[in-house]
Parts: sequence; C-alpha cells; structure tokens
Amino acid sequence: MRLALDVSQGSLAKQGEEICGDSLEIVRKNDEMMVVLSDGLGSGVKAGILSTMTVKMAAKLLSRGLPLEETVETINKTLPICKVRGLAYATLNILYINEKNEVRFIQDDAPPLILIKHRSKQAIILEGQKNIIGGKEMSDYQFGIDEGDILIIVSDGVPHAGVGAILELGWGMQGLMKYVQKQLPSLDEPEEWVEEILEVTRILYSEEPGDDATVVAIRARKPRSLMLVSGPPKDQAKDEKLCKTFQSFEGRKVICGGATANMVAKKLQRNLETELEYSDPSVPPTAKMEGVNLVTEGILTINKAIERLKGVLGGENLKPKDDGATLLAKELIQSEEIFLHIGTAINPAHKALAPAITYPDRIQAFGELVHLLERLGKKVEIQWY
Amino acid sequence: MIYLEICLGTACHLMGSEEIFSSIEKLPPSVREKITVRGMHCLNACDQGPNVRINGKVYHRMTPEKLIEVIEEIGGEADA
Ligand code: FES
Repeated sequence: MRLALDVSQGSLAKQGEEICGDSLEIVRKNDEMMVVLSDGLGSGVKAGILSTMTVKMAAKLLSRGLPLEETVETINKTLPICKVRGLAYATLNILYINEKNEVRFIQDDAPPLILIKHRSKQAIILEGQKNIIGGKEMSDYQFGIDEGDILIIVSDGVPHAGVGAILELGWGMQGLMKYVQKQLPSLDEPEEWVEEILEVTRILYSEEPGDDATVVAIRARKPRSLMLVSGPPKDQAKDEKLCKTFQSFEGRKVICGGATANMVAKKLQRNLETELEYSDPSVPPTAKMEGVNLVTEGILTINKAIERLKGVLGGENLKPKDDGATLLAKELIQSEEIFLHIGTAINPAHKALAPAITYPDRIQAFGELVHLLERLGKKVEIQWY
Repeated sequence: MIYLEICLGTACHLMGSEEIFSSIEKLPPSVREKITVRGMHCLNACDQGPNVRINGKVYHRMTPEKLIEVIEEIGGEADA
C-alpha cells in the first residue's frame, strides 16, 4: 500500500522584501504520487508568477507521463533566469513516491534533508547526490519512507540564520538538527514543524531575515477515504438509499447542510447537536452526530472551504482554527479517495428567499471543489441524487 | 428559566443569527444565567429569519434589541 503524504510549507521573506509565495501541486498516477513544490526567489510579481508557472508546468508534464528527469530538463530550459543573480526566479522540487514507498526527491541546490523516523523517534540527515539533470546540477535523493515519518526540507536561508549577528556562522544544519531532536517529543503535525522552525529562524535573524527562508514538512500516513453528503435527494424515495450507503461506508464521513443532517439524523435515528461556538463569524457553527466525523452547514461553509483549499494550492497552510470550513478543508486534504454524494433537491425556503438574498449555486460550487481536489492529487467521484 | 433556541441554518445565518447569538453573551450575568441556549438547524420559517424559539414560541425577524425586550418581558413574568 502506498502511503499518503501531508504537505505543509511556509516562508519568511528577506527583510524589506515582500513575500512572493510558494506554490504546490500534487499529481497522482496509478499508484504513484508526485509532489511539486516551488518557491519564488526574491520579491516581486515575476517571482510569484514564475513559481506558480513552474509547478503547473511540471505537474502537467508529469501527469502526461513524462519521466522525472525530462520534466526537470524541460522546466530548466524553459524558465527565464534572473540576470543579476544568475538564478531561476523560482526553485523546483519534485518528490516522487511509488507503491513500495520508495521516495525519490530532486531539488535545486539546497541544504540536506532531515528525515524523522516515527518508530525510532530519531532524526537523521540525508545527503543527496549531486547529479546533472537537465543540464543543471541538482540534488538527488533516494530513500524509503514508513508510516508516520516526517521529512523536513529547508532552503539556505534557514541554516544561515544568525550569521554575523547572534551566532558567528549561523546555526547551520548542526544547530537545526539539535533543535529538531529536542522538539521531537512535542511536535507531531507537519504544520507545527514548519511554524516552529520558521519562528526560531526569525528570532535568530533578530526579526530581520537576511535571506528568504522556506520550510516544507511532509508526513507519510495511511491513505484514507471519505464520503461527503450534501443536499437531500430531489426524489425523496432515494433518501433511504443515500442514508444506507452513508451508514455502511467505511472511512471518514462528512455531512454538509442542515436539511441533510436533519434527514440523516431522522433516518438513522441519531441525535443531532448543534454547537454554539463561532470561531469565525462568517462560518455557521458545526454540529455533532454519532458516527459522523463532521457535520457543517451547507453552501456557505462549502464556499469558504473552497477558499481555504485555494490558499493551500497557493502555498498557504490551513490556519489552526476549528470553524466548519477549516475543518472541512482539513478532512478533504487528509483523504485520498473522496466520494461526493450530492442531492439536488431545491430547498423551498431558499427559493422563497431568493429575491432577498442570493445563494451561491451548489452545483457550481461542487464543480469547483472537484477541480481543486484533483489539483491536490485526490481521486474524486461525484454522484448526483 | 428561559429556553432559547437560535436557528443557525443557512438562511438565518445570512439574515444575521450570529449577531443574535453574540448579543446573548453580552447580557449581564444575572440575566444570562437564566437562559439555556441551543442551536437549531432550521425552524421552517426561513423566509422570515433570523428566527428564534423562546420557551416553545417562534419569533421571526429577530434583532438583538427585540430579543432583549422579549427576554426581559419573560424574565419579568417569571419573577412576578
Ligand atoms: S434556516 Fe432558520 S428557519 Fe430555516
């Protein structure tokens, strides 16, 4: 069984420069998966656009079956180079994992990787081989990964932190490793690793980073599947069938929509308890139902979750919040196979209100959601009722 | 005791049920402690939201001011 990967990334911009954003795209092919990451160099619109272009292009080539080396070569030859620095405007990192959980990672020149082995609770430094790929020297890594392992990738700006200021030579990989080892017992989530390492980096730079610093953390975990139901069926006679399918589904279960939640609760004779917490005033509160991992309001929450997913594709991490939209986005991100069961009954109440407020369109929202999930490498099946 | 159910469904949310909810939290503690609040998914009157149900009676087009009035009224009755 090929393990699934959770990816988290974050950056600090060099003092006085604006952050131009990282980009991420995930490609799935049969039993293989490829994660393409790019980090725009320096500031400015150009770097930002080029990092997005880099991942999109690489993802397209890889999904069409072009081998890794040739993909890197094509990108290296196509993207413009900054005349001043003699560097590409955006870095290119590709991580490839196959069904035997063998990883290959190709990266522009950068510090070594840190691999945290889950079972032994040990962090190790992995040195890559310098290989010329596509006419350019790149670091090439090959190693195996097990469930729970975390891979940490940093840009030069991280080990350089502190140079000439707090520490003569910066904290270096040694310092970073020591820190990772110390934090091992208390940190678990990839987002936490990214945030913590960036925080120390910021402090070592005395809040004024002398270089862009990027951290990526990737965790391997068992793949998951998820079933999401939203909207009661157009034909009421199908309620029963939908609820039965939902009940017997093995995996994570999510309901989006009050009417749908009421229907499931009634058919399956379960209690539905609405929470009263607003952690984000623009997202209606969630509810609780036994045997269901998440119950949210419908269309507003879905649209907010779509915004969150777009952020993730733009290199942002999900905020550690627990509003319905963030929780929904998290459920979707952490599942590999997603089954959407969407009812098309028109809510008579919404219809009555239509002249007063405009409701975002459900079908359109799900169309967009499917597209985003596919860009995140998910296998999505949608069924309309 | 006042049993207050606030509809947090899509329509009522769009019509401002969150404001109703937060106005409860701002009530003086002596009043607040008499109220049990519960969230509801839909009170079947979506075109007249935001809706709340107080001790079994549904009130439409609720505003924070109106809610306080109703609560004071009921509270007064209960004290009398
Ligand atoms: S959503 Fe409040 S009454 Fe229907």
